[in-house]
Amino acid sequence: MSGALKVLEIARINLLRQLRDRSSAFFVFVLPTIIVVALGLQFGGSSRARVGIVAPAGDAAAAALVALLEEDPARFDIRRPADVATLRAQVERGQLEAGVVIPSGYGAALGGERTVEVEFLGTMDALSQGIRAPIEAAVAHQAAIVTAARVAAGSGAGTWDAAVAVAEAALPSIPGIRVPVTRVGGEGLFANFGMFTFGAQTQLLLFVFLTSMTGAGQLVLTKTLGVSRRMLSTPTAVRTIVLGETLGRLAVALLQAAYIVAVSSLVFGVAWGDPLAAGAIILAFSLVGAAVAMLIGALSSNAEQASSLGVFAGLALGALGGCMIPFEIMPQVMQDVARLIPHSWAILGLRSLVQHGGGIESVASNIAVLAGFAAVILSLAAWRFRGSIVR
Amino acid sequence: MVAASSAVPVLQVRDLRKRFGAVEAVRGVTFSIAAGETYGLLGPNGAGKTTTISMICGLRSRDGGEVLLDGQPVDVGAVGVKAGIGFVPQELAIYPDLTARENLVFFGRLYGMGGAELRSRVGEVLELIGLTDRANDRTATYSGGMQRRLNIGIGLLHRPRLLLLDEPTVGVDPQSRNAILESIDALGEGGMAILYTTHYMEEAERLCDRVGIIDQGQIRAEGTRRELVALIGRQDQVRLTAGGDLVAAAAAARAVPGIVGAAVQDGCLEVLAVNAREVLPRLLEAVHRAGVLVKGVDVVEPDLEAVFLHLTGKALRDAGG
Repeated sequence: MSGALKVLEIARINLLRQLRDRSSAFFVFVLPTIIVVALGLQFGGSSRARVGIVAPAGDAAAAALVALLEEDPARFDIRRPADVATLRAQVERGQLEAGVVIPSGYGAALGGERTVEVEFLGTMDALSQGIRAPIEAAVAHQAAIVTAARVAAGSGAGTWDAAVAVAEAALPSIPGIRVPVTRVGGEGLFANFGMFTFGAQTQLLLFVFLTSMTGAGQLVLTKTLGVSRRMLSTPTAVRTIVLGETLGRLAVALLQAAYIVAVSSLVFGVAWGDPLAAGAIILAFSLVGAAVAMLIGALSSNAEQASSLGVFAGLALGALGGCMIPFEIMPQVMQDVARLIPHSWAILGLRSLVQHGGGIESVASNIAVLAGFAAVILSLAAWRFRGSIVR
Repeated sequence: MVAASSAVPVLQVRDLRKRFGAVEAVRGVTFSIAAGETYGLLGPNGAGKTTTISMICGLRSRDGGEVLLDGQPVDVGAVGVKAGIGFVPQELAIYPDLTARENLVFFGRLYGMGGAELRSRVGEVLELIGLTDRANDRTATYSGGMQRRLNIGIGLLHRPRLLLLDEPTVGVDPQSRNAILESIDALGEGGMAILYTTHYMEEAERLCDRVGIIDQGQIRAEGTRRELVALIGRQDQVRLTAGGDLVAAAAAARAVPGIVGAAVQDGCLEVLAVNAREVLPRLLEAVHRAGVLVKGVDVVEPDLEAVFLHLTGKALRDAGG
């Protein structure tokens, strides 16, 4: 059997042992799915707000206002709760981002002389407050027509209905006051993201890393049981053993990544951008995870130590690198720190592929940095691991 | 088993040396093993047995000396020549989460085997070590004796020219130990050279054609059991079962003319004497004066334990401490 086949055999055994471990199956397959879904429900849906509207039936003016809101399907997902109590409950529970109540007799009231109120229901969070502005704009549009019609009808220029018709026809051609909006700074954090994109990207990186860390514990066991040294007593070169163990850790990391990509794409419709580019980023990041697992495994003297170090590295690097909260909302100093963490380079690369498109050339620098991290850490790990079996 | 002198050595070890900081763990160890011969390295814990065996199978670098397997030098980087060595380490170097068959197949592939040859050989080895019925169970579910047998089976898998067994019965119950010794006893018949390290005198006497007595990194003597026992000359071994300060009694015994050595072992006082019958009254008197109450006296035929005591002045099983 050649050296290459022995590398594959050692990797195969590592993967087999990982898959046999029932507790790790929970962490590899079940937990990431739960967290992707949870984050999707928390952070997702920001591209299309769910707005509930309660409006009187058969009221033309109310129907016109609803039609104005429905003109922008990319922004609003209009729902129609049965009554105001239901609407209020759904907004309170977070099932709707906001609600609009158009009162009974709305059309008739517009023809009167009193102020007519359209109620906006929203929580105090930024999201619902952000929805308020376009709804107010739609109401203001209708209010402009109503004001003009009221003035005309009040001046004896004709009936209310005729005045409304004239105002509606004339309004588009009458110059008014416009508020031009200029975006300053970068685009929105979740621009072009689907509901589960943020969760899938960040959890892929977090779990690929954490799952790799379980490989650190296995490596320690292999060492402490004397299996590594026994391998060395066979006609197998040290570099073959080191490569095989590394490939084993990489295989575990890639299995984890493939699972999250597959489930998030097929079940939750997450887009990952250019497959080659996304694959290269994930491969490079998995190599970093495998390298860190090798290093921790080589440095640790028992499985408990490796487990503690692995969990600490996985969670701390994940948090600092933006896997738990977007690092754009961190203070500048922490954003600078994040640049030293491999996760941030992977996150930025994956995000760029979704938000801006582009192929592997657009994320070449991210891949290069990740490969650099992997090369340095792997060299250290190989040196330490070699030292632990050749004494 | 064959006589060492009549065969070409499979293994030649010359002036092997290893130092760990200030401690010279192996100090010029030299011996050879012929095909079909079982050679025992007998010595207490810390004598340098495992360090020696680690250098022989290329697990550990050496500071000096030479190891040749069929004339080919063995070293950490000498990968090819290791195909001729089967190594059974002291620890259970098997994957507990794999089955016996999977462990054997894995190591078989590392030894360069594959396909039908490997499948067939795995079946043979499972039969040999008596694990055919449990071949597909994870080894974590095995008893200590079964795990030990698998540990040995892995070393035999590729039919090596030289089998290195580093204290393979440590921590094994008497029944399993006997089964292991029986299977090792049969291995030499196939022409395999065997190096067996142990601190159990009975194992060395039972299994080995020749024994090297090692202490503090040096082989103090080597030869067949008969040759080694002859080193003691007419010395007899006297075992006193006694109560009281046995250490003080040993010191008192050493001062008696005709006493070659005395040591405490297993709650008894072990004494080597030139002529036990002649010296026994003076010995009992000296021990009595040391405040020890003698409950029983045995004069036993000299064995390797006595040889070790003669060569090192200490009992084999207490020397490591």
